[in-house]
Amino acid sequence: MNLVQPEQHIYFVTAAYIITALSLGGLIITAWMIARTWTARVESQRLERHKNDS
Amino acid sequence: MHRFANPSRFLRLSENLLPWLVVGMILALIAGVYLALFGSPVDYRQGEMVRVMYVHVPAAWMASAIYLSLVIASIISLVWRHPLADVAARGMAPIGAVFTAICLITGSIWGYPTWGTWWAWDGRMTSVLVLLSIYLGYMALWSALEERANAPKIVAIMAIVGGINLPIIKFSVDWWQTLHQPASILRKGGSAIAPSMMAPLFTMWLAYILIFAVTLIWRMRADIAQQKLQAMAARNTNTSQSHAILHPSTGSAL
Repeated sequence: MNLVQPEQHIYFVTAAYIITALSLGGLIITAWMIARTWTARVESQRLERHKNDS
Repeated sequence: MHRFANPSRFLRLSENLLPWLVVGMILALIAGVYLALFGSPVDYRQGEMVRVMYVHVPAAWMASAIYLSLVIASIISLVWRHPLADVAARGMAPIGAVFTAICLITGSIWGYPTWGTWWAWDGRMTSVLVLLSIYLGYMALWSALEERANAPKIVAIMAIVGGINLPIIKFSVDWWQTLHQPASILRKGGSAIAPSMMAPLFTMWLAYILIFAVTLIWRMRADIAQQKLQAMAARNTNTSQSHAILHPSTGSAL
């Protein structure tokens, strides 16, 4: 017995794409933010040391 | 390979490569989603549900491929002690976990209208769930042992042992023929999928590979930056202490 009618398939497809988009979007944004934050911290530390040295 | 295992060289190389990879990732994603939603024909049996295949199947491939890469990086770390191998392995785990979760969730969404159930303790589904738990266990072990000097060695051994699950995932559909369908692309006698469905499938796979490459490079760059910062802090502490020893009368480090 089919529990889901063919006209309802579109809702399942939409749900699958939204979940995938949110997961991958989250993955991309998190990785980008982490990289940006840490490289900026290293850069500011380097500048600070440079300032102190001179 | 040794030439590229240098973190400074990696940072330089990745900086030049990243913009191209990001552009490629965006283009492949746009093309993949377009082909999957509008370019692919409707399946004669599954109807519109076939479109879930384009997000589910490449995610399943990525889940296993990333774990295989993690095992290779762990072997390199154990045998050659490359400084970048640990950084790469550590960066791969969360990405692999996300792809595994996407595979499980979209598989469940695909399963309900086609099989009549969200979940079954079928060989393939269970072994992929085990893969997710291995990824999570790997990340937990890293954060638990972070301070220990032998952490990379322990975590690498755990990752290599976890690799036993990969052939189980691959052959589960042949060993236990229950609910999940057998292999339809990499199988004897050629692919069982219509050529018109191959283009969206492989375009999405390419997009996923580029997402993996971009996010891994970002994570590795962040990890290297973090280590650099820790080294700077340790150097500052050492300098302060040595100054404190040289000038104890000042009461504070210079």
